[in-house]
Amino acid sequence: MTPAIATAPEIDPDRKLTFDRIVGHRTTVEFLTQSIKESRLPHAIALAGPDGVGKKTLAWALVREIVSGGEDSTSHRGSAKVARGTHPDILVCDNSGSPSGQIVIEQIREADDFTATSPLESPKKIIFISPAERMNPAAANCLLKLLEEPPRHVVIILTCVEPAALLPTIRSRCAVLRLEPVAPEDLEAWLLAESGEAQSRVSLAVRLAEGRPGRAMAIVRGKLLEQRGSILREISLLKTDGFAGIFGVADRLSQLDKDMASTLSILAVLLRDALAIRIGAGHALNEDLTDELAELAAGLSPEGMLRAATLATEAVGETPRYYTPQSRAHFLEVLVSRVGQELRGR
Amino acid sequence: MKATFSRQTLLSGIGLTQNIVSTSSTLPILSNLLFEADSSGVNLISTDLEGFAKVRLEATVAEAGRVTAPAKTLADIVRSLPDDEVALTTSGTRMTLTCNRNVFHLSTMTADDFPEWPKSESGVTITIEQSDLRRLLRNTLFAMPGRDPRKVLMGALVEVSADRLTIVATDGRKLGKASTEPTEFKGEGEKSVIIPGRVLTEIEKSLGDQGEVKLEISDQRAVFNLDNLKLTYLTSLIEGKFPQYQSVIPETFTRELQLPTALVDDAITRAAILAERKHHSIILSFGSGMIGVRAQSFEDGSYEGEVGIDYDGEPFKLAFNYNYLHDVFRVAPDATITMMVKESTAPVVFVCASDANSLYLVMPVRMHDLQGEEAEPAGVGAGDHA
Repeated sequence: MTPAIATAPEIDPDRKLTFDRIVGHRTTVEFLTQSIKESRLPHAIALAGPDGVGKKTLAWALVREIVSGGEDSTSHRGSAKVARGTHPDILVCDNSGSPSGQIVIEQIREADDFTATSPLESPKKIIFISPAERMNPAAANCLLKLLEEPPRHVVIILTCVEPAALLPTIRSRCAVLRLEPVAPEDLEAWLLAESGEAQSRVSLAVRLAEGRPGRAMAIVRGKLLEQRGSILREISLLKTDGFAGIFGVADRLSQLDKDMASTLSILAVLLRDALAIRIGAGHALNEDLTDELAELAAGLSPEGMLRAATLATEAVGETPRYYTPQSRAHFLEVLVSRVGQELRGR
Repeated sequence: MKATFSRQTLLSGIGLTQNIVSTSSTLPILSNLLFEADSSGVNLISTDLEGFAKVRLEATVAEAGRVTAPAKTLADIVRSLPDDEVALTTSGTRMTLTCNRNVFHLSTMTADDFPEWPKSESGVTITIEQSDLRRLLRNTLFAMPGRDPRKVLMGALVEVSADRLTIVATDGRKLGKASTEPTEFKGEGEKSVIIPGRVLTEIEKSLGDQGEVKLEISDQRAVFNLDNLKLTYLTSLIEGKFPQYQSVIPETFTRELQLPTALVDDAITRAAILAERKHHSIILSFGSGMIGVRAQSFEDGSYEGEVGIDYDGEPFKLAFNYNYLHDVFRVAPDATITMMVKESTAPVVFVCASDANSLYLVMPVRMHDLQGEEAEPAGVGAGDHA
């Protein structure tokens, strides 16, 4: 018997797109396209923006544009190799295989060695560092040396949520490009075409995603929309159960979706909606849940609800800092406890 | 693809290419060899991204094509086969090797993902004897560091002009320089490039006593053609500026001594056992008719030995890292090596009579860095004996 052997590498979804298919970020794409055209692309570029806004997708599209050397990146052979992860002039430093969740100095040293010789197939060698804020201090200092005397045949691309989390000396040596939220109409049109989901579901996901294509896709493809009822019930428990309920609620919330940020963003939006209904201000984003939201809001103080919603909103941005299961569990328990306190009135 | 080779042809082809592969997890295809079959034969290609190797194999090709398969597995398979014809066929993503009544099915990766052989560029071309290039590499590569943050030192400087090929390597503590005259030169002007040491080490292994090497150097690549083996190496160049090595080599010397290579090396081996740990240093004391070789480790003990030499000048002492001396004595081709000294803190130069175009240089350890040793005066001795 002969084994059937699958050998073609799978395409990373982040690498699928070229500049022409990026949703939103037109100014950034135009700036980068023009820079490549005029051979004045900065030697180090940091793409910054919240989770799910499209940093990695845009960064990979940029890589595909660079290796295409002015030719059409949608059909260029090198660009296709980037998508398949087999381009010889690209080196990726990420934290995917790292038990500590950090990018370590050995990876940056490897990148440094990688820059010693000229590129083989692309006009430039490209080092891709993501998420850059996960570099430990030794790795960051090692990168700094490379940034101080960058070889002319190298481009370094970093992605990070918040540039302030990078060493100031690294930040000052990079062209920092901030990615703004994508306009709802652009996001909706894109999500409708890409996801193939129903209009109502897409609209709801867009309203919950705060202009982030990645988040919108995760919501529309995941089960969280169906689970909003469960999240509401968990919040209701916090009204009554007090401390006794914290661990159970946190545990159940953590199991809803592997992307904690998505769960928390829905939690935040539900709290915001309940507040809106409580004070009679505007529409709830989750219109389909108006009755349940009104039930939750009954008897709660608007001030407490506002503080609870703010806590949940801030927590969404905090999630990237917690990358081990233990720290995430602990983070969620503390958050649930504080939200509960605010709802019950301290 | 369908091709038939003699086992010996396939085995030697794999042997010549399988060391220029990479086991990096980021690009798994780099641990593969690429077969490119055309109507008249098969090219076998490997790369570790820094260098490429390509060997042309004689084969009967029934169907042209390209495929890649893991180098190590291929080597293990072909080595294990009986001495007979080996048929290689591909079907979909599978490669089948058949020899006698043995059939191996192997996983492959698509040849489209294998790095492309870089395009040739114009530059200068020289032709030299393989044996000459081997001598140049042997006399220089020993001086290259195992690892160094200064990337330019991880390669050898190769300087080419119409009448000279010079290779230099150094780690900042020791240096090897060797040169030869090309048999042919094409192109204009001079070229000075840094070629990665890892590739040169592989090239050195393939060079024989017969045949010539054609070396093409352009701004970004160097290509070594070994026509008699139908073997080509291509390497990227290390970008950067190589240290100004000429300024390190003293122009005048105050002492010149003939040392029996093997006897001194043996004494150094013994001294190394109890060498001082921090600098790995041993002390050579040169006196009338002998060298004293001494090592003292404050933790472990000491050694003293003597080797007879032909010397009747003023006594003097030098301290060395024994590793550096070993490296030089290991590559020196002659039974006697000439040591040329300027002063105790200046680089010491070694040359061999049979090869006037090579020199080795070692930085001595400063005496006052060693515990219990008095600092030497700057000059090794009075008078000018050079």
